[in-house]
Amino acid sequence: MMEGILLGLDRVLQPDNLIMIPLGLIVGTIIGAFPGMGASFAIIIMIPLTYWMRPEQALIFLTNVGGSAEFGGSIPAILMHVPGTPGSTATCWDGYPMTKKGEAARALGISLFASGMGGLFGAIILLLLSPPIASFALKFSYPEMFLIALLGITLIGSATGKLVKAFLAGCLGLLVATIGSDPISAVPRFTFGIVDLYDGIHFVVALIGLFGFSEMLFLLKRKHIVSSESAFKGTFKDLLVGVKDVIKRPLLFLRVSSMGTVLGATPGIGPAITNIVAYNMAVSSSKEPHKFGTGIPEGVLAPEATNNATQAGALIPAFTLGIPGSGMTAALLGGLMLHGLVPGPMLFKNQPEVVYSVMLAFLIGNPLMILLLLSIQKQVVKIVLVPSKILIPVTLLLIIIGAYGIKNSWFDVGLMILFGILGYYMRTYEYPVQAFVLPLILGSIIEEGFRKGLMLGHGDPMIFFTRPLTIALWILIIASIVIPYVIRKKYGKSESKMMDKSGGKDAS
Amino acid sequence: MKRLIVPVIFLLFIIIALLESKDLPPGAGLYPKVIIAGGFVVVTIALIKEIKTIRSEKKAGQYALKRISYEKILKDPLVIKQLFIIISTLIYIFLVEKTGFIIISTIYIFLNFYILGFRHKTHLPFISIATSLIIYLVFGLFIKIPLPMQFLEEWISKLIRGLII
Repeated sequence: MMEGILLGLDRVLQPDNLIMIPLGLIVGTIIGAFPGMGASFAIIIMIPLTYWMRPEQALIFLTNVGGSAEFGGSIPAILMHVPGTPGSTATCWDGYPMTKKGEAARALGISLFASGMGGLFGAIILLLLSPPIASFALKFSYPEMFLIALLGITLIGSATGKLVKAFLAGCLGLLVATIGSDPISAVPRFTFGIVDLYDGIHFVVALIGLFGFSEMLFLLKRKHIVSSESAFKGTFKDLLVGVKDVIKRPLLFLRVSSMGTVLGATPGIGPAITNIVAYNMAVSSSKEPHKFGTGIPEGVLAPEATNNATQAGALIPAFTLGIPGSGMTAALLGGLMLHGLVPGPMLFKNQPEVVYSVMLAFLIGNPLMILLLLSIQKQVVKIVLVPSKILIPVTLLLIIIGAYGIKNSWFDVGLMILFGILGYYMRTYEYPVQAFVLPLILGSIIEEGFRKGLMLGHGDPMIFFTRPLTIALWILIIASIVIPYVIRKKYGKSESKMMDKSGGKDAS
Repeated sequence: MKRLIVPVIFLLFIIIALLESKDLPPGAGLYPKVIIAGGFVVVTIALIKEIKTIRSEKKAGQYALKRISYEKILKDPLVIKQLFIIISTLIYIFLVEKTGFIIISTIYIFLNFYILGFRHKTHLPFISIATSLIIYLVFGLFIKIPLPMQFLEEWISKLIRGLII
């Protein structure tokens, strides 16, 4: 592990890699500050900019874009009661009352410092836990890899409380992933004679449609993203008061950050859920719970520390197992694979310098975000005043180029539109988009796991049930279905109500 | 009935896949057939669940069985804007090779600005042209994505190269 860290440090400290950290932080914060444009969206529209970069350079940039977008989402949440990302839903509940009391700068200071430190906390856990998990995952063979993907889908379904919908989305994702030439025999499947489909559908095209184009269709519902009443008033000193507010509450910070990292590492549980869980934790542990909702620092600290810690936690299964548990990690894995890297345990073995440099860049990026944005907060806040009628057409053009640039194909742009429409309906009727995306990204790994697993068992499907590790994975799969069901039955529907409060959006 | 949109789309997709998978050889066809079989089971459960929900909502009086009025839907400003974005993007794809990137992008942005309500007489054309030019410079010339080139793009490329040299 130490060797990997040193290799990564050597890479991340190269000037052309190092510069990507602040660049990613600024870009991510700006995009995240536009309501509706979450971390996954920020990464998706930035992917075309990374085509010319080296893999680690691109990933350092994209990881910091995603991480800081989560903080960016708190800006409109605090200033105008509109969550910028699903992960900043609970931030509104006390952030906006603080703005109304004239404490906007203080709330932004809390949000910035809590986000940065929460992300740092999660990044340390990521750095410590990922190598042992990855080395354990190296023991997985084809049947286990197939079951890991299945576990990812059941976890997403359980976490969102929509198991049938998750399975349905998962099946469709698996089917879409089979379009193109068969990876083993090269026989074309479901291509309908269209030459452009022979190479299959590139999952980044699907991601751009599902997260990017569909988001534009949603944004049309807003006439103006923000109102001018949200003009930011406050001084640098006020921001520092917010920083002190976090320092004064170390126990609450540690509690919510740990919860965020642990839950974030579970596929399907994104910041959209954890920020509300954290808010409820803060309420239940407070001596003055009645004050929540009136504009108190704890109400901003808890969700903000959590959402960044959650994103760091979500990177653990993404890097070690190749399972994108959240929208942000799905988009990030898209960027990773676009640069020829294969997520999963082999990444730690084959390209340790890349994976460690990305983890270290995320670790450096979080405290840097605090320093950087404390100094340019006022300018960043102004960005959210851009109306949607200007924003949408410009973003659409970027999305089109993003989809086109992958294979320089206009056919792909057409596919992207189809996925955008599908994503719009899936999100409208609460089908977990991640469950669709996961098999798309892992398509070849899942199929290889299934077919080579069968070959390994000489055609006997019992190989998926009789190996010690597969038995353990089946237990986890069944537990991931049964336990949330039992909990829901026992504790009523409070959990799902809590998720509904998050706006019904996917956990990006 | 809107609840049934997504499972019906999925069902159609699975039926098409089933028909297409008939001719696949055993090796390449086994895996998709297993997914299709699983998909059928899940989509059936999903449809039953949605129909049950509709029935229970009906009983509770929360669900009013209305005829879908396409006329009403097409008059909805949100639907008009969404349709405009989708159709204009499709037209963009068809025309971009013929017109070159800058001209079609300028028109695309201009029309979308206009439809979405940004109609400032001087800012509208200026921002439309500036946006497509900047995007062309960044992605076409700097990142080197081979964006479709016609006379305008070629002229700009020559100009930029001339300035650099």
